Amino acid sequence: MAKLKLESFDAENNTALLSLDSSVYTLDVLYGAAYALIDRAYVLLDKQSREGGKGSRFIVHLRGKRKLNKDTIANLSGEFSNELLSQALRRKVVKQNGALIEEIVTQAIAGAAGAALPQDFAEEEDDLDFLDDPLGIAVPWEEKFSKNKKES
Amino acid sequence: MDQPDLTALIELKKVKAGFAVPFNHRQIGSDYLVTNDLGDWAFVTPQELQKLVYGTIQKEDPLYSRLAKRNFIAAELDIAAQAQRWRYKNQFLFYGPTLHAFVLTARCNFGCQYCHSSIVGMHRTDTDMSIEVAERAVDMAFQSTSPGITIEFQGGEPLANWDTLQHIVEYARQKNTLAGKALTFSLVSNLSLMTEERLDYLLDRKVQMCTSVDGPRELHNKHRLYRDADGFEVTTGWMKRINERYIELGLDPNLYRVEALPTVTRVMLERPRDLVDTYLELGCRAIFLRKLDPFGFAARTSKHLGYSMEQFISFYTEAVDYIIELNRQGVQVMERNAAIMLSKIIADYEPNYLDLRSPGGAVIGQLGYHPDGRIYSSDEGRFVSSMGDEAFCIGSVDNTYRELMTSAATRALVIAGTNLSQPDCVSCTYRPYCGQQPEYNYKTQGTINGRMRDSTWCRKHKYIFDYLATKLHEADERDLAMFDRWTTNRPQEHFLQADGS
Repeated sequence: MAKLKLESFDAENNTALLSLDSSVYTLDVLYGAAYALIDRAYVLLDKQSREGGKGSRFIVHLRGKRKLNKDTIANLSGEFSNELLSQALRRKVVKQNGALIEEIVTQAIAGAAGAALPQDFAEEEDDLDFLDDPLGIAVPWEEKFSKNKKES
Repeated sequence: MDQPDLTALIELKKVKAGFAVPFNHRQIGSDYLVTNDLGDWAFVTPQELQKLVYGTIQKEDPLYSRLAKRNFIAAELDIAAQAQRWRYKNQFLFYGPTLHAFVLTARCNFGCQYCHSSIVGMHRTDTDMSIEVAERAVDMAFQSTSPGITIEFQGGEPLANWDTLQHIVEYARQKNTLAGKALTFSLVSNLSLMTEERLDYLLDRKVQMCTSVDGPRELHNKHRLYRDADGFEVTTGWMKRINERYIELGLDPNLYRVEALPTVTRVMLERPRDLVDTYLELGCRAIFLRKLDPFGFAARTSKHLGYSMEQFISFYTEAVDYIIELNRQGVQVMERNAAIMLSKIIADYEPNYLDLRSPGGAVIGQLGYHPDGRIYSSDEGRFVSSMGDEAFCIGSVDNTYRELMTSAATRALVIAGTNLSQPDCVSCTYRPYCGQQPEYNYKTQGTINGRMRDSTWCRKHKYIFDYLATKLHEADERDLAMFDRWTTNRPQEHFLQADGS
C-alpha cells in the first residue's frame, strides 16, 4: 500500500515513525523528500522486510528539533508525502527534457565562465620551484644520452 | 465564469499531432490564452482551440493567418528566424553575471522591522568592507564575461563606509579604461548620511541612486525606525534634492529621478491608494509592489508584519487597478512587476530581470559580495546567510572566477532555476515569461527545487500573469497604448561610464 503510515508517535521523546511501501518510490526519491525535512527534524531512514518476504517498507524516523504534537506531525508527514510525489515527478520531467536542459545549462555555464585562462591553472604551477625541470628540458644532450653512448 | 468542459470540447482521437507547435493553454474569461515555447501568445475561443488541436483550420480562414503569424502553425514556422529570435531573447545565456552587489558594511542607522540583512550598530566598523577586499571583489566582477556590469552598493547603510565606496568607484573606473565594459554604479541607501559634498561626488561619477519609501509618512516611520530625525522627511528631502540636481544637470526629469521601492507590510494592505499617491507626490513614475520576503528580520517579525498571499493579491489588484485608472486620467505611472511581465509578453523583449527568467540569475546573473570577501549566489543567498545558513556561499574573493562559475553549487542552482526541470512549470501557460528562485524555494520549502504547486512564489506570479492576461483580453486601444508605454525601454545612458574613462 502506497499510503504513508504513522506507525508511532512518542510525545515524551519527541519522535515519530512513518512507513511507506518501498515499491512505489525509489531510494533517490526517498532521500530527496527526507532531506526537505531536516530543518525541522532529525531524520533517519531504514528499510524493513515484511513478514513472509512479501515486499518491504521504508521506515522514516523523525525526532523534532522543536516540540512535536499531532498537528505538527500531520503537517510534516503531509509535506513529506507531497515532496515524495514532487521528487518523483521532477525526476521524470528532467529525464523527458534532459537533452534540452543539458543544452541550456551547458550554454549558461559556459557563457558565464568563458574560456579558461592561464591563471586558472596557476595552482598546479605553484607547486613547482622555478629550478624544477620535470620534463628534463634543461638537461644537456650529452648528459642525457651519455649512458647510451657508453653502452654502445 | 464556469470552466468550459475540455473533455467535451476535445476528443483525443481527433487530435492531429504536428499541426500546431507545442503550446500550453489557460482559460481567461470565456476564451483561452495559448502560448508556445517561443513566447508567442494569442486568445482563442473554445471552438478555435478545438480547430487548432484538431488541425482543421483551413488556410483561407483568418484564424489560420492569425495563428501562423504568431508561430502556432507548425507548417508555417520559419525555424531559422525563430532560432535567431530565441538567441536574442536568451542572450543572457551567453555571458556571466551583470549585477555585482557589494555589501559595504553591516552597519546601519535605521532599524527596519523587515530588514533582510544582518545589521549592526554604527560603532561596529569591524563589519566594514576593507579597501583590500573591495579591490579583489572589483577584480572578480571585472572577470565576468558580460559586456556590461553594474556594481551596486548595499548594506547595512553603504554610505556609512564612504571611503571604500569612493575607492571602489575610482578603482573600477580605472580598471575599465582597459576592460571597456558598459560599467554602471548604483547606490541603495536610506540617504540619511548624504551630504552636499557626497552628492556632488556621486553625481559627478554618475552613480545612480535608489532608496526605500514605505508609503505615507506615518507608515514609513512606523516600519523604518530612525532615532535621529523624522526618517520620512530625511529620505524624501534628499530625493527631492537629488531630483533637482538632475534637472540642473539638464537631464530629462521623466527619465532621471531617484527610484524608490516600498516593502508591503500588513498595515499597508489597507492603503494601496495612499501608497500610490505618496509615490506620485514624490515625483516617482514607477512603483515596485514587493511582497514581504521570507528572509531575515522579515521572517522573524512576520507575525506582526506578515500576511497571506491572498491578502497581498487583493492589495496588488486594488493598487494596479488604481494605477490603470490614473493612467486613463492622463497620469503616467506604472507598476514594475506588470511592466517586466508585459515587456516579455507584448514587447517580446527580455528585460533580464534576474528573478523572472529561466535559468534564474543565481550566480550566472548576479553575485553578492559580503564585507569579509565571501561571495554569494545572489542577494537572497546572502539573506539566507544572515540567518546563519551558508548554503548559498559559493566561495570568496580568494577563488578564481572560473571556480565560482563552474562549481557544483552553481550547476545545481542553474538546473534548479530552469523552468524545464520543474513539474508544473513545464506545462504552465506562463512558462516562456516566468522563472523561479532557488533561494526562495529553499527558504520556504526546504529544497532549491521547491514545489511550484504550493509555492507562494508561483501563486504570486501566476496571479499577476492572470491579472495582466485578463487586462489584455479586455483592453481597448487606449489601454493597449498604456501597456505599450509601460514596456518602452528607455535606457538611462547618462549612468554609463563613458569609455571607461
